[in-house]
Amino acid sequence: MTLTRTRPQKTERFQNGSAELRVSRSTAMVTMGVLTLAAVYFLIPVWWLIVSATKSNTALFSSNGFGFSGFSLFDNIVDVFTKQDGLFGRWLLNSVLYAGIGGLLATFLGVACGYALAKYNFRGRGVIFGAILGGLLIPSALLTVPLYLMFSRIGLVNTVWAVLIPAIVNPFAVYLGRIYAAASMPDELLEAARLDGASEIRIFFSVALRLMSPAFVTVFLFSFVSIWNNFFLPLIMLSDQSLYPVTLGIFNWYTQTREANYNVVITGSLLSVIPLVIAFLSLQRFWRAGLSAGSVK
Amino acid sequence: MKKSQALAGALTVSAVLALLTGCGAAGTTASAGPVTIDYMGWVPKADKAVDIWNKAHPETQVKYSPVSNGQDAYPKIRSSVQAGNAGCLAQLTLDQVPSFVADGMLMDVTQYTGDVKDTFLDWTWSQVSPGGQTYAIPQDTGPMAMYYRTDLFEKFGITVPKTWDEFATAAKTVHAADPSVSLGYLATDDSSTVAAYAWQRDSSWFAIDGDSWKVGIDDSASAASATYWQDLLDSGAIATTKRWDPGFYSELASGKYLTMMGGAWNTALIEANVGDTAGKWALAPMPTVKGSTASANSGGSAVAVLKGCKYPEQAVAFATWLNSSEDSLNILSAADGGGLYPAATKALDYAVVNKKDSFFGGQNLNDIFRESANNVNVGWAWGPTYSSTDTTLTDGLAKVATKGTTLPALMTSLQTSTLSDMKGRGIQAAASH
Amino acid sequence: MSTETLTTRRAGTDSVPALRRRRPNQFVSAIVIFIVPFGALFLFVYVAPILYSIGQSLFSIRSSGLGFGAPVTTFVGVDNYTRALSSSEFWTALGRILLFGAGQVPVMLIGALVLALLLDSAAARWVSVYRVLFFLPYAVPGVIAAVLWAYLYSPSLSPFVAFGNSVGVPLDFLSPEIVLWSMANITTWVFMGYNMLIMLSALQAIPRDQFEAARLDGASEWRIALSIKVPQVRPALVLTGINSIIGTIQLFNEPQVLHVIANSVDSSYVPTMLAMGAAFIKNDFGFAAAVSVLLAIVAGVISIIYYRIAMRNPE
Repeated sequence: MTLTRTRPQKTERFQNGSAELRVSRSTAMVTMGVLTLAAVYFLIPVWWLIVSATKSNTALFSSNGFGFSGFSLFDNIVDVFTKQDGLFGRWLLNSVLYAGIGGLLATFLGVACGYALAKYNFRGRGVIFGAILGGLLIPSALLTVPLYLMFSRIGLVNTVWAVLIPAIVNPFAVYLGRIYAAASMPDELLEAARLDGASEIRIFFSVALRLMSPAFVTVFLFSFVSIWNNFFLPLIMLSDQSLYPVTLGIFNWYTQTREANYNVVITGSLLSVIPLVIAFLSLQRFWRAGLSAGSVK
Repeated sequence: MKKSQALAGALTVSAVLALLTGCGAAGTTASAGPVTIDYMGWVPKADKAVDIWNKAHPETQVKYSPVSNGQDAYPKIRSSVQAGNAGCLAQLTLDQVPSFVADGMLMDVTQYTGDVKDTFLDWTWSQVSPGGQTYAIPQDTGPMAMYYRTDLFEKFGITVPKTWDEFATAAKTVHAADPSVSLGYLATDDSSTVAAYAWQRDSSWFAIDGDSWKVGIDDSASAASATYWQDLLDSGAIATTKRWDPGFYSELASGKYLTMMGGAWNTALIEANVGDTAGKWALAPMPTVKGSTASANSGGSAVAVLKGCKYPEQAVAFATWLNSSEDSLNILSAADGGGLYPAATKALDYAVVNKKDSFFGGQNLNDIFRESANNVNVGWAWGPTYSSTDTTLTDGLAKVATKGTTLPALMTSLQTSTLSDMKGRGIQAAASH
Repeated sequence: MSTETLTTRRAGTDSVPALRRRRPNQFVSAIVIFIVPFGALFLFVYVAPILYSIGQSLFSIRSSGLGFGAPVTTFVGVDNYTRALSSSEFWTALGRILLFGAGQVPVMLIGALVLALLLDSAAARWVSVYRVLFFLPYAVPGVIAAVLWAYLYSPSLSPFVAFGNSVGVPLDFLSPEIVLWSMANITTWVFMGYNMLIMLSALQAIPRDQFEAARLDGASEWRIALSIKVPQVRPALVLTGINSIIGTIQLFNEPQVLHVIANSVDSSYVPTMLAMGAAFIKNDFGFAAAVSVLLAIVAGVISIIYYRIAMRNPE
């Protein structure tokens, strides 16, 4: 999947002239050397994670971290999926739902708001944008407790909404939405659509969203990851374990130090990263497609 | 413009609120019929014990949620009480009970306990009844003993030290023979052990005197303990470690330490994390101060009734069953269930607590732990701001490890900061000496 | 990630000449429909809790006697702020994250830029493979990444330390002087690839014929990178820079996880830990709220300064 994507880039380069020929051997070697070193740096902990996921609890503490010792990967995986009556699978599913639905709504609300801030001239829009940007500055972990107290007053805690509602409000989405809208939606087009008698809402849905689709995917990815990674909000909001997202579930296992389950935590971490990697790889196709479309101008 | 904007805004807001409250109502509707009690804890297999209870008691259903161990669980517990929707029960370490009472987080359940008091070790009952009112049901204790490596003791030609003086001598012998290993360690992230060493010498960190607290964190017994360990550290015979760093088990596996001082609940952790060393371990009483038989307690916990609990009577009944019945303790005290050392007196005779343990060469560990539990100084109490004292102590111990302070100096500063903490909160307190 | 669009039409953001001709109230209903859903929720989950925090920061809890009676919440004015501003813990923690930011943010951004330039250069092969490899750590949730590195730092578990010892070079990732940079390494590991990707997107949006002209003039790849490419990805640097500053101020996962294994990381190592400890261990929610409010102010001031500097750049 990744390999197919190299092709357009390469051809683009060749079309632009045979620049490849002009690169000196030493430049090429330095370039590839640095890139390979960087790749090693990024991969070392991943290698550790993979190796460690194959070890039993005892082997974990009696062997070198980069070398194999015994092979308990399948036992560990079974442990992960059977611990607490198989909650882990449920947690993965929850994470996908929270991050997927939450990310989609966050993107939609944020992009719509950013679009309005970019494309309509009205009094107070500077103030609104400023206030929203200000929201970015507040450490979100510190808002969680007041939010919890408010949510519990209206009976939202320990429900899916307690995680979803804060997740769909993403000031960063507005920030990006505004910039992308200003950049990729020409005013002339807006005017032309208006002259054709299209309503503002219709213009947004049928023209703006289409033009902004690469931006939409980008904002969605940002939102998706930030929801997937957030564990403090669900930690405070949820007490029913069957509602946990996977990051919180693993954190909970990790901090249950009275139980010897280091192998389960490590294997669970590895397994929880895999869906995200898959999401990236598959979504990357969209956003790269969007990118080239966006850079035509 | 303003008008229509405001109107639309108001409509949206009320729509959102309606949506929110609508969902909320669905989530909180209390169903008639059986009573439901929420219970948060960190004993690994507590859910299995809860299942047994739920089958036998259809009218009182318990809903268990595992939370993080110790401090990591406090955000959860404190915020749920603050919001007024705490379930009912939460596991707390014994040292935290008075702090949670002082913070208004627990409920006085004295009226529901009746003769439950007699079921549990006296000193545990007084620790869950700070100021004379009861707020929790004791769960487990951590009578201390010395886990040691028989093979390494043999290798270094040392015998089991009976007193702390003998321990210090043996430590120097071992260190001289091989500087890369040591007889023991001081765990800088385990404040409960440090407190226990003072406890064993009959120090009194906190005591109630009429309407006021007497604080003696740097009293002579506590200072003696601090000096003993500081000397041992200074001599280089023992080192500091981090007991809750997973790397600790790697140190144990490699034979870096010949002994481990700890509460009874450590057994299960040793067995599960350093399985390769099975059969090489044994248990002996913790060294004592010359001329005394006193032991000490490290850790232990209680199941506390949270403020806002709607069914305190049923909660007390469940917690009592959980912490004293054989059905429940067969699960909680089994090695794979958490290996709790029960706080209930009669439970010390249960078969599950008296198994011959092959990991320890077939020894019945309870022979040692029971004696230790009986030799714990019963007057020890924890103060109403101990949760912050404990944090300061742990930070200070880390500084001892990086040579930023010494243990005796730490005790002195801890005394000062604890007193000012208490007074700052409006609590009556004075130094005990 | 089409941040390249930042370069192309930034000027258009604030002036929309086409709309000036119309009277603005024509679009009121559209504006309301687009802004209010987000705005209402924003008020609900951001503004209300902030106001709540500010209110809470003016109160404190008081007990009496043995302390076992119900604690009373008392209005204490700015007392919590004075306590925070006069506590050495607060200033130490704040100083630490400022140092962290001054060191980590430039290193990470420059590293990301270098990697992006290399991947964009004509000398690079297997670009898509490297791109994915560099980006991979971003898929690891922050807490899990910190736990993972903790195993690689722990003196008795770390294969690095073991290797160091075997060749006679003792390594200590957790010593008081080093541990802050060990945390910086975790943050860098997670986010460098992500920032690299933003910059790479910006780079790849630059029309290729610009380079071709330079190449025909005999300019080296290095020169092209420095004088043509770098100036054009400035907006991407602004975006990643602001993100990184905010992330630094909120630094929590890394110190919290290393606290477990490092003696040099105490319970108030960074301001967020100080606030969390005050709230959840000491039950001092007023103090925690005061620290949070002060932290937000610091974050605001630094971001405004950074923004000003960024805005000074020629278009």
